[in-house]
Amino acid sequence: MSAVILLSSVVIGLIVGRITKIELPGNSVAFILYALVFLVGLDLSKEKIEKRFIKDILLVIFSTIVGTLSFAFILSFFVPLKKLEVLAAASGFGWYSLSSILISASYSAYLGSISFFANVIRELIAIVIAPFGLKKSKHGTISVAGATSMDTLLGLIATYSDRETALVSFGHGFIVSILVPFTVNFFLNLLKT
Amino acid sequence: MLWYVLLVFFAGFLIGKFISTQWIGKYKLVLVLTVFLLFTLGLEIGANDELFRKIDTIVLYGFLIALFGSIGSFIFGYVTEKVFSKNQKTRGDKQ
Repeated sequence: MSAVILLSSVVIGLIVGRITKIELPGNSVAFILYALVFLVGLDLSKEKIEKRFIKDILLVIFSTIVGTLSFAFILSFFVPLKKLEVLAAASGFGWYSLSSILISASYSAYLGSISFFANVIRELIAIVIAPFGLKKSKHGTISVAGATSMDTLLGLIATYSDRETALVSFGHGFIVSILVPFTVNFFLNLLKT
Repeated sequence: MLWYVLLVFFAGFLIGKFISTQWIGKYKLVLVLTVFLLFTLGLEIGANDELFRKIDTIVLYGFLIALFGSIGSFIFGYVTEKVFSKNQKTRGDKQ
């Protein structure tokens, strides 16, 4: 449901922007992003990750990062974008609001927009495959969910699996969320050099 | 910008240890701010003629990156899970 609301807000923004051609003050988007990130930080501060799941969590994080980036690298041979641009867009790992704004602000609005759609569609893929994906591979499904495995997808994963998988899912999403700004920035820095 | 994002995130993380944060979930503030943020992103694309003309490639490349990233993640997750389970079983057998 929230995915529909979020996608609608982009479409409405697109229509309003198209009609009014309005331009927002330079820092306004950044301030909304800071407020959002601050709230996410506040929200996460009360959570604890159980130590006995750390091995599983690290294993899934490895799959998310290596799986995403290696296949994005393969894709980069077939699309007319720079290899590092594809990797930067993919390295949002599902956190579309942060990755798209970071890329738009410090590299290009075009790549930021691609990153937004890449990460929204990734979340939608995770929502669609979760019910049967979890039967084939719990780690695989959590890995597809990326950063959203701790929020949007957590409910679905908990419903279609067990408590332990839900806890691994949460821990994975938590750490991947912290990693997103670093991974996006890593590729943007390489692009600028 | 990145450093501000990290600074603000960890500031929230630290401050949250000392104050109640239930109001965030209660009023769905993260969702509200995300809606605002995505609205501004749409606004930016809509108001920018050059960007709007490229909307087809934006969606196509976005879809391909999502598809490849998801397939890669699932395969790696599947394989590491199988290897991990196998190791666990082997350890169990030895015991």
